[in-house]
Amino acid sequence: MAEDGPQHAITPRAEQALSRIVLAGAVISAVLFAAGLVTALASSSITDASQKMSLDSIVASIASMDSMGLIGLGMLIVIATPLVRVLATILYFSQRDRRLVLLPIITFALIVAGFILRMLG
Amino acid sequence: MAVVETLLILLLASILIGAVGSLLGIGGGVFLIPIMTLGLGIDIKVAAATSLVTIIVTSSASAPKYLREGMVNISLGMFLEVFTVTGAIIGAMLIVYLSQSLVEALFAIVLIYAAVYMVFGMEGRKEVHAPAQPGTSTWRFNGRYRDEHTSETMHYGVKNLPRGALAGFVAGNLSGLIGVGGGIVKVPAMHIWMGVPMKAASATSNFMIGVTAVASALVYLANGLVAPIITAAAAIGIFIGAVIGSRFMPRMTGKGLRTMFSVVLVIIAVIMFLRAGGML
Repeated sequence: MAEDGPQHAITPRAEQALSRIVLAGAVISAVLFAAGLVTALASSSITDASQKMSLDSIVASIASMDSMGLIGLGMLIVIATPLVRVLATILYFSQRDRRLVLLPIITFALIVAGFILRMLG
Repeated sequence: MAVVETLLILLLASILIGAVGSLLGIGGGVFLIPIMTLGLGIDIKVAAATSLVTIIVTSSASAPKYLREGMVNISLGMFLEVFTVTGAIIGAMLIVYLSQSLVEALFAIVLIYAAVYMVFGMEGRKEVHAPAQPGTSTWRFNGRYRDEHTSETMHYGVKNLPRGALAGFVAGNLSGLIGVGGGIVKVPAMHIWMGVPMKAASATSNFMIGVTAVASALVYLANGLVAPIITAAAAIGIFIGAVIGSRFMPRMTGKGLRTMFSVVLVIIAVIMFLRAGGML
């Protein structure tokens, strides 16, 4: 049948798995953001709400697991969620459609390359 | 402004923006960035970085619904993501070289486009492009969706892949430059140029914007333009607002409401232009 393109190879189970990944990421990060903000406000540790932070500072704060650490961890989970989704599609399509799997591989490589280029530059 | 006051205003505004964005079917960036810059005096590049993180949260919170409903054309989304991500990375790398006033002027132009799109560009066409035959170049992107009126599964084909790729690049570039999701470019391009039904185009765009925004957000993060505290407050607000908007309120399709918000966007655009020109 003409309409049965490879997209239909994506089973409802796979769609549900992808949906669980992204929803879990959103919920966990929102909880961490809320916990971090409440803790920071309770301890009156925020002096400037719009203070910018480098990636190094954010990673260092996670190790301390204080209020900023919770927010930093939330931010990394937010950012990791779509990346995990891309990796999941790579795994899924590698077993189903070798030509389509190139697309998420290129996307993932571009994202990583863009980040590394900026870090080096 | 005091820290608690700033965060409270941002939280409440974000809840409202999340709900309104969900009602109107657009991302919240076009509202969030002006509130942060004009209302709270935050640098537009920091506001763009914050907006990108909230876009990822919005996409992650709403995409599961569309995925469960089978509305997302995942193959097409993966194809377009290659171009949106390329555009987003280039845009985010350029941002550090642009002046604040130039970014504000660019944002004002996008606001006017968004206002016009909300009034004239969101009416879906009824006809569906026929699915492609196996072996043809677009066969892999054939999609399907469930028509809510007839409860039938409709099959459609996709055309004009190069044009869609170009639109994807432009949408990604805007996302990287000014922190919007780019749905206002992608959805009409998918619908009008590529023949994707409106609801499937909207769902596919929503599925993609998280990945596009991540590409830009990582570059913003590497540039040290992310402010974690306000980002956290805005992300929580948008998340709550999006849940309220999608669960408890029907999707508003009335032209009157969209026209009203379009007028608001044009007013904000004028203020942005004046600010960019040093008149405010």
